Amino acid sequence: MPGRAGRIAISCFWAMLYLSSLSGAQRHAPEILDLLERRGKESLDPPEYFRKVLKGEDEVVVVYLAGPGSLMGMAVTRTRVGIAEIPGELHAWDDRVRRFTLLLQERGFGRDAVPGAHVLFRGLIEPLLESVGLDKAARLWILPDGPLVRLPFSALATKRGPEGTWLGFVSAIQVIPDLATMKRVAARSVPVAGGPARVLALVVEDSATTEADRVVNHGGEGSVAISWPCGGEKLEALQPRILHLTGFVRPAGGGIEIASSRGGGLLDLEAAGASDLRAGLVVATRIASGVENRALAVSRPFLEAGVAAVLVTHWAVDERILGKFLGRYYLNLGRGLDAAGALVETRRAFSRSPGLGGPSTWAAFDVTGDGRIRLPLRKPFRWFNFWWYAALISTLYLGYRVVRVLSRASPARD
Amino acid sequence: METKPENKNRIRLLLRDRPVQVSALCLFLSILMLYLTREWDPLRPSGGAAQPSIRLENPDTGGSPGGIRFRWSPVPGAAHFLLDVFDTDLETVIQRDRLEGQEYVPESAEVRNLKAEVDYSWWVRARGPDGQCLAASPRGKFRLSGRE
Repeated sequence: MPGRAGRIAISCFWAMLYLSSLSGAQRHAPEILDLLERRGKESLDPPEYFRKVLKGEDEVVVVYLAGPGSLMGMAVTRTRVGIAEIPGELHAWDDRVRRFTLLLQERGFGRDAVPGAHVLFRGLIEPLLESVGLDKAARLWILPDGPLVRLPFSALATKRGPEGTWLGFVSAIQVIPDLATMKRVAARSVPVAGGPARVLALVVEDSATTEADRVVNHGGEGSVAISWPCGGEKLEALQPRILHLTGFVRPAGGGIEIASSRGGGLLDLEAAGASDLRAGLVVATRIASGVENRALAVSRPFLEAGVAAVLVTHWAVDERILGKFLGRYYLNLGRGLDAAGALVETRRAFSRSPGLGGPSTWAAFDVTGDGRIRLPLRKPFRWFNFWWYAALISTLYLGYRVVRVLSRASPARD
Repeated sequence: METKPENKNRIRLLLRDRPVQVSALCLFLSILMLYLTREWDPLRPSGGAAQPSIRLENPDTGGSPGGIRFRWSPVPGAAHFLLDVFDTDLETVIQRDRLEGQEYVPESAEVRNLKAEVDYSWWVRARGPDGQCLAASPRGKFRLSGRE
């Protein structure tokens, strides 16, 4: 028979197993055009609204401007402005972006797209970084224009060949739809974490209840799931810092329409903007098919309503993988990373897990708006996690038995 | 649910005779569960309408230069098709707009531009009478084995 300590340990193990089973629980503003016109004639100072968001020397704002037949690019750091003409005609870039996104969406995508990813990096990012004397940037604010609004910049490769490093693994990228949004971001200070962020999961279809429950579980104290459709006053009263939409959304009439089998309806963005989402995040990863430039088209109404950042997708991601990706993203938010940094970590984690879709999954996601927001969710390590206790008790008991066996064996050797 | 007395005895005997093995198994299961519970379960909410797609009839055309033939499935409501062939650097190799049928055989001048032992990709987009994109195909791949 096991000793007294062993019996207690085993009883604890089964008791916790039982308890855990119960819990179940652009258009760019004239200022940019003006800067482009003054190029070469005088030294350019970084505009104030760019300087305000740039905290370090390795943070860069990249602005693209699509002209009648060509593309221009501008890079801005805290102290320098660099301007470069992007070689090639606009329609050629349009073709390249379409082909690249086609390659990226292939499941099991591997080495085929790396040369193209590097061509895009060399043409669109490298000359601009060089123009401000940098070879890489820790944080990139990208204001795309023309065909580049559809480009997932995270999937550009900084090197050619199978060992190519993805831009989305080395730089925290946030896409800004237009200069007006950039000015709004610059006008307010970096959102500072208050109390624990409250997550509101909007359950659009009954089948999404499991997802909503898990989102609420990640959100911790004060997080709730409510059914769609709901009144704006409810949204305002709950004051979430994260609004997680489980249904398909599309931009409609300056707002956001949520599709549901119970009937579609417009989300009250005014109520959303009035709530704590001003310093928060909207997760809108399911976007109805057929929406042109879907990532920015869906982000824009939220950002205009005052939401700090939006997590969106460039294309539909496999539902089985989407849940895993978002779960990991929430974990990284809970670790204290900001919205854009958490996406970098999630991409890295997914790249290490074979069978999770590779870039066809992680390149689809982008953070638009202010990616610097931090949302203090519940810590990923939970003291009440049954399995930690189980592992600890099993280890202690195993150690105890081994020590006993060794202590019995040692006199025999003497 | 009552546990049968003989099963209780078996458990007791197992714990008495094999305590190290039992606790090692518990430890293994705990670590396995810790690993597994880091991930979410697959979720399956309701979906949106799927994007219509064009099927490529011969996605791996190629082989000899004379054997290249691009064929695809019809799309209801499509006025014409755009065929796009490109290389690994995303550069245009062949681009044909306003194709009315579901097949295109490249001209000899176009074939001359293709290099042997180089990977090429191709895809097709269907456009409505107003020029709007109705559907797109996945990617087809081909390479020429050598010159005839």
